[in-house]
Amino acid sequence: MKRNLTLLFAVMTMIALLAGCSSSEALNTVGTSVDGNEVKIEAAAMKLVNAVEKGGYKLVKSEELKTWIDEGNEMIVIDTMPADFYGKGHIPTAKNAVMPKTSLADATDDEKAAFEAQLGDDKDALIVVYCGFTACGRSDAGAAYAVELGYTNVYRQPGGIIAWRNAEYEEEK
Amino acid sequence: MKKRISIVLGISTVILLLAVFFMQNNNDQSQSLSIHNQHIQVASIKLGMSEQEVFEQLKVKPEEEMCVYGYEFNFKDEGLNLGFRVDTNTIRRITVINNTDTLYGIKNGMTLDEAKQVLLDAGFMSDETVKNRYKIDDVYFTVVSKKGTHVDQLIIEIIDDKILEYAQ
Repeated sequence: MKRNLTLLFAVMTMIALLAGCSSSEALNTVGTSVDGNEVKIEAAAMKLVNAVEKGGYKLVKSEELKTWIDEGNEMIVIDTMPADFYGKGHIPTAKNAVMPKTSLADATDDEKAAFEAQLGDDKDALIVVYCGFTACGRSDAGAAYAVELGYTNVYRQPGGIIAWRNAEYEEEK
Repeated sequence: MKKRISIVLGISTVILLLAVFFMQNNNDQSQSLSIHNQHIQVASIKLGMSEQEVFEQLKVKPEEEMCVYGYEFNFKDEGLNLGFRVDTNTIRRITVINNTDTLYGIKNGMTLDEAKQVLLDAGFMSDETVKNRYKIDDVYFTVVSKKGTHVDQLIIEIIDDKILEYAQ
């Protein structure tokens, strides 16, 4: 009996270890530079600086956005990821309006209309746009479009949902 | 002793059944891919192709970017973007931006109605959740239209929930 229990325990431990390995691997498979390659980080940083300059919006980091949400600040949060991805989990209170990952120039009329519909009438409202991670361009397209439409208080959270998850903040599903 | 043998046999059976289940799933997906690939006329690029095979076929250095489903190669001059699975390094998505390559006989520049008819005739069903997206088996076909009249981009991609889980 004791041997049987030992055998069972060994099998369960092996399964748990395998499950643990796969989830920690999963955590590191998506992001700006999953292998830690500095060249990719540099490229993403350059792209971000140029996009902010061109787009005319401001940046907010995950930690600060979390504080805004916790304090119950009135704001509009827009997730620009594809609907399938949004459905798997998003920043609390975020609405979904997909934007292209390339640039605003590639947005379809439907995408622009759906995004605009989430913004509301108050041009001075606090608006936060995010997407997947820093190297992703969807949130730039969204934030730049909001600025183009005349909204004055537009922020982009560059780290996106991956930074939010890596910070282990709560998600809405 | 008898109990021990039963436990070992039980565990072995479960492992064997799981292995058969996964092999069956992989076979089904390979068959489905091979059918769809017959309708992909994009240089010699096919779904499920490895990175190495892509380099051999296109002989051009692409821009590499990360995406939430893995990573992608952008062949700007060719008007082609290929999405790869991060776990197998094989193509999971083909995006056609040029006006020459075809997917299921559909070419950029055709009207949305023409494209829709081709896809419905091929057995695709409209996906209610995303506009201009169609589904068959484990494949999505998206027709992107900037102005809502003509096709500007074609996207064919393998549906695999496991890919979404990588970002969880």
